[in-house]
Amino acid sequence: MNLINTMIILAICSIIGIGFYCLIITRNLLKLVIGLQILVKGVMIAVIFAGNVQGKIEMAQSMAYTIIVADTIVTVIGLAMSIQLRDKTGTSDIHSISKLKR
Amino acid sequence: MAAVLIPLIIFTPWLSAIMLWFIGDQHEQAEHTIASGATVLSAIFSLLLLLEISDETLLISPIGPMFGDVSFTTNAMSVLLVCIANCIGSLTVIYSAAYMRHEKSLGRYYGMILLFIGAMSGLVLTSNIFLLFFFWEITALCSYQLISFYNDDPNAVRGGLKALFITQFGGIGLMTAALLIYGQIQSLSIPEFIEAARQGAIPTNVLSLIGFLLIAAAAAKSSQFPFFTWLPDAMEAPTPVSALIHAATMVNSGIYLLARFYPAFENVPGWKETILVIGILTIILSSLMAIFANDLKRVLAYSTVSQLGYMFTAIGAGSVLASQFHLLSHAIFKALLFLAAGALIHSISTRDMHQMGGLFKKVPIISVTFIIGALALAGIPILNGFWSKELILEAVHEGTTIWIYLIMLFSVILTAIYTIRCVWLVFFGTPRSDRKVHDAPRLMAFPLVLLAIGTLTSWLFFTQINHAFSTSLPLHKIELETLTKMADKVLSDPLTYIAIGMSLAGVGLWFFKKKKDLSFPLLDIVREASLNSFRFESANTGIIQILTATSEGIRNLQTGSLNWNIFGMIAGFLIVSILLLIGGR
Amino acid sequence: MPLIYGLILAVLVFSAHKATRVKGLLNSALWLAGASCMTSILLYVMGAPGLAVIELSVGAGLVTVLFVFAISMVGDELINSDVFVPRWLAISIIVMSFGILAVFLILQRLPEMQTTRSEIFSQLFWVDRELDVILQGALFISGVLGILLLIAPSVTKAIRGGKSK
Repeated sequence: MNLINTMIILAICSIIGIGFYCLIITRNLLKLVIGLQILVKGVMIAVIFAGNVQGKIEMAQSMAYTIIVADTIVTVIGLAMSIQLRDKTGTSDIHSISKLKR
Repeated sequence: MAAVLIPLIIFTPWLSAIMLWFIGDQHEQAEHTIASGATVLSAIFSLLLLLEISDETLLISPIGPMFGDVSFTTNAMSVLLVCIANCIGSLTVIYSAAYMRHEKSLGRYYGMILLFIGAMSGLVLTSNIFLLFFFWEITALCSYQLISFYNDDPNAVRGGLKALFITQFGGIGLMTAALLIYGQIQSLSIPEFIEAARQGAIPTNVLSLIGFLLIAAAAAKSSQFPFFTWLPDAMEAPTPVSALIHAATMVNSGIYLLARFYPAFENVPGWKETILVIGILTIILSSLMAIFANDLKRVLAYSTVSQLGYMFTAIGAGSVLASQFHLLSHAIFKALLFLAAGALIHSISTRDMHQMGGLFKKVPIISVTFIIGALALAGIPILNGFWSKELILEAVHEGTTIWIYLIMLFSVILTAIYTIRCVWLVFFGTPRSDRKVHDAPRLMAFPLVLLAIGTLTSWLFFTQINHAFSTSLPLHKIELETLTKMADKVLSDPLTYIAIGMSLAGVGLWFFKKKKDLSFPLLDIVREASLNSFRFESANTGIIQILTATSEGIRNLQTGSLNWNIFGMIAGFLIVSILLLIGGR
Repeated sequence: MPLIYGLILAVLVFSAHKATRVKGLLNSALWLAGASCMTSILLYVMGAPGLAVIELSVGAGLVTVLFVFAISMVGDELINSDVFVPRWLAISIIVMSFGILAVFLILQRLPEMQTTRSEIFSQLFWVDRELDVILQGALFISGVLGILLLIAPSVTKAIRGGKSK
C-alpha cells in the first residue's frame, strides 16, 4: 500500500464528496455553481492520477483540458442564469423557478 | 435480376408517396392516377419476382457491424406475400379512386397506403431481423394513421390508438427477441439464426424464450387471443384500407413471422402447442362474436380474426404449407368481401345490417361477388376457401389429438352460421329500410370481378405453389404434391364430407333458429358475453386504468427539485459501488 | 515527497470545504480560487505542468473574476428556508458511498506514481488534436461572450439605477 496513492485517493474522494454534499444541501444557485466547480476539480485530479499511474499522462492531460472547457462553460451559463433569475424572481433560490406540478 | 427487382418493389411506392406529397391535394385526379400507376407498376415487379424464387440470401450492401447486412431473400413464402400485398394493394388503390372521390386530404391517404405497401414488401422480403423490425413498425404506423384517417371522429382516433398500443406489445416482443438473437449469435441474419438453432448452438431456455416472444409478437400483430380486440375497432378506417391492411396483408405478417421461424422452434417443447391453443381459442371466441354482431364490417373483422386463427392452428399442427395456402385464399376472398361490403356501404351509407335486406336484385354485381366470397369463407366446394380449409383440417387431424379436430369441426359450423346470417340479412329477406342503393361503378366493379375470379380459380395453382415452397424452403420439410393428388386425397377422405356436412348443418341450423325463433338460457348467456367481447374489453380498460394510476403515482417522485435529484444520483451510485464491492472482488 | 503531497492535499481539501460551507458568497468565491490554486500546484507536482497552467489561469483567474462580477450583481443573499434533504441523510449517504469508493480504490493496489515529466504533451495537444483544440477554444470564447450577452440587460439596469441615485 502506497502512502501517496492512498492520500491522493482519500483527497479525491473527499473533494468529490464535498462537492456533492454542497449540491444536495444548497438552494442558492451561485453556491451550487461553486459546489459544481469543487466537484469537477476532484474529478480532474482523479483523471490526472489515473493517467499518471497508467503511464498515459499526455492523454489524461488532453482529456482534462476538455473537462476544463466544459466545466467553465457550465459555470458561465450557471452565473448568467443566476443573474437572470435574480432579475425575474428577486431571489437566487432554485426552487422559485420550479413550475412542475406537485 | 432479383437484386434490381427488390429495391424497385420497395421504392416505387415510397418514391411515389413522396411525389404525392409534392403534388398536393388540389390536383385530385393526378393523385388517383399516380397512386394507381405506382401500385400497378410495383404489382408487375412483384409478379416478375415469381420467376426468381430460390432459397438463397441476396446481399444488397453491408451497413456496419451493429445492424447486420441489408440482405433479402426470395423464398416462396416471401414472394407469395409480396405478390398478395402488391396485387391486392393495386386493386384497392384502383377501387379507392371511386370510393374516396372528393374526399379531403387524399394525399395523406394515398401516401400512407403507398408507404404501407412498400414497407410490407420489405417486411416479408428481408432476411435481417433488424430490418424486419424496422418495416414491422412502419406497417404499425401506417395502420394507425389510416384507422384514424377521419380524425375528426373520436371513434376513429380511439380505434387507431388502440391498434397502435396493442400492436406495440408485439413490437416489444419482436425487438426483445431480436436483441436476444443478436446476443446469442452476434448476427442479425435470420438464416444464420435458424441454422444455429437447429444445430443446438443456442441454449434451450433462451431459444424457447425467443420463441414465445415471437408468438407474442405474432399474436398481437395478427390480432389473436388475447390481443384480438383491436381489429374490430380498426374498422373505422376507410373500407379499402380495411380490405388491404386489416384483412389481406398486415395482419398476415404475424403468420409469416411464425412460419418463417418455424424450423428454428420446431423442436422447442410447448411452442407448437401454444400456437395451437391460441388459434383454437381465437377461432371459437371470434366466431361467437361474429354471430352476434350487427355491424357488417365488424362481422367481417371477426371472421378475419377467426380465419387468422385457422392459420395459427395450421402452424401449431405442423403444416406450414396449409397455413400459407389458406393465407393466399383468405387474402383474396376477404379482400373481395371487404371491397364488396365497402361498395355497398358507400351506396347505402350505413353499416348496420338491420338497415339492409332484400338488396340482391338491386345490386347484382355486388351481391354475386359478395356471395362468392362468403361461400369461400364458409368452405363450400369448389372455391379456394374450401381447399385450404380442408388442408388445415387434415393437418389438424393428422398432427394433433381428436379433441382439437372436433373443436375445429364445431368452429366450421360457427363459420357457416355467421356467414349465412350476414348474407341473408344483407341481401335477402324483406327490405328493412327505404334507403336508396346503386350498383358499383366501373372502377369499383373491376377489382371486385377480378377478385371473384381469383376466388374461383386461385386453388388451381396449388401444384406451382407447392413446388415453389418445397424447393425454396428446404428446412420446412414440405412434401412435394400436385393438384390432382391433393384433390384426390381431399375428395376421397370421408372427413371432407363430414366438414361439408357441418357447413351445411350450420346453414340449416341458422334457418331453423330463424323460423322457430328459439330462445333458451344458454344462448342468451353466450349472446350477452359475446356482445361484451367476453370481458376482454373491460380487461383492456382495467389495464389502462392501472397504468394511468401507476404513472400518476410515479409522477410524485419527479419533484423537479435539484437537491432530491442529485440525492437520487448518489443513492444509485451507492448501490452500484456496493454491488461492485460484493461482486467485483 | 509524501510530506509535500500531504500538505498540498490537506490545504486543498480544507479550502474546498471552506468554499462550500463558509458564510457569504464572496468568501466562497475566494476560497474557490484558493482551491483552484492548490489544484494547479498538485497537477504540477503530479507531472502535468501544461494542464496546471491552464487550470491556474482559467480556474483561479477567469472563473473567479466572473464569480466576483456575478456576486456583485446578484448580491449576497441568505436563503433561510428549510433544506429539502435532511442534513444527516445527506452526510451519511455521501460518507457511505465515497467511503466505499475510497476503500475500493485503495484496495486495488494501483501502481506507484511516476514523477517523470511528460515530453510529448505539446505534440499530442497541438498537432494530434489540432481541430479539437481550436473548436474547444471557440466554444470557450463563445461561452464567455454568452454570459456577457445574457447579463447585459441587468448590467444596463444596474448602471442606470446607479446614475439615478
